[in-house]
Amino acid sequence: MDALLDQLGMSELRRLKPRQILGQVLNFMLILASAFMIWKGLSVAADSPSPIVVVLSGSMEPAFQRGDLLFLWNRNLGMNEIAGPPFHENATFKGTQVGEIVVYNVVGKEIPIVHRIVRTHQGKQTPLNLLTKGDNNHADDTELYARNQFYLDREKEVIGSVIGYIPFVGYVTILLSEYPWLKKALLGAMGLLVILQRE
Amino acid sequence: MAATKINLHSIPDLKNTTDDAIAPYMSTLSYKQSHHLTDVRLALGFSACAIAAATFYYDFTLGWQKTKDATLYAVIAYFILNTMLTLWIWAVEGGKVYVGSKGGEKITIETYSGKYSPIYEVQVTTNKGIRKVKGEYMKWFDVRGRLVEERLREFLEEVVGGEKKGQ
Repeated sequence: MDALLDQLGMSELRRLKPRQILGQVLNFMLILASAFMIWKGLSVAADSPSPIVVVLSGSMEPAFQRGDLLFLWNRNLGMNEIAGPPFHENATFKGTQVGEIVVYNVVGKEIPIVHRIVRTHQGKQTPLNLLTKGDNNHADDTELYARNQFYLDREKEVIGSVIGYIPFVGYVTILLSEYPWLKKALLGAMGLLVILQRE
Repeated sequence: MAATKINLHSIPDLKNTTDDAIAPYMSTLSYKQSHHLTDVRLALGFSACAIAAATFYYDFTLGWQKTKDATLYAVIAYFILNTMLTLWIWAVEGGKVYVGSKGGEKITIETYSGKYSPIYEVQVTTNKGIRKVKGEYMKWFDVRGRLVEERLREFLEEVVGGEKKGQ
């Protein structure tokens, strides 16, 4: 056992006392927990279940390419003062408007879709409905919506409007989801490093 | 203990190995170690992790819409605990590697090493006052990177019992 640990370069582990091992485990857990809680903090701030998404398709080219990282804001529901958050004329993020790019999840499909709003219906007094289309697609999105549905519900189906982006950096996550073993390798290596390093 | 070889060019390795040897030495002097500082740190840290884990679990099972109000409070609580933990590590724990007592006498040992300096700086706080001692790592590590316990013990005797010698 000792020889094995030595070979793996983990002889450090043998010397640690229970409290020190707990401390090292804690260091590792705190990294995961902090990453998760920062993500949740962003979620709460943007009021969106997923405040950052990665573009997975080329349907919005040339605006967005595969792998672009998008930042979302979901406090611009564009509804009336009774049903939604108050909507001020000079607000930084006004109610959802034609021309904006939104990210939506169709009920029953898990993949987020990033497309531009080409038409809005209702709103102000009733839930805002949207029609979307990918800049690079020939037809609008009615095909993609749930069966017999010709619009998106801004509040229920859209997870946010795009307010900023960083090109290409999200490509890592595309790689990670296309090659799942990469994810395990990365997580394992990270965990080992944190447990073995004492600084 | 002496079987472990360390990298002589790594100050953190030298310091950690020496730090770890202090508690066994103090127990031979029949000092009783107090784990209060570590325990508070672990409690703060694991409470924060528990909040994150609960948030993850409820988010996973109930979904965003049902949990978003609770998530706000969880995020606030998590970052308060995390700040307390950071303050605890920086301001309270600092360089303290050993807290213990014998009879009514309390002893606190703090150690420091500059980033690229092979000098082990020890500060001992007892009921009688504060004392500072400096030592060189090369005095208790051999050329292969093994801790030579007798040499370290000589240094620690000077650290802990310094007043007696001086008198």
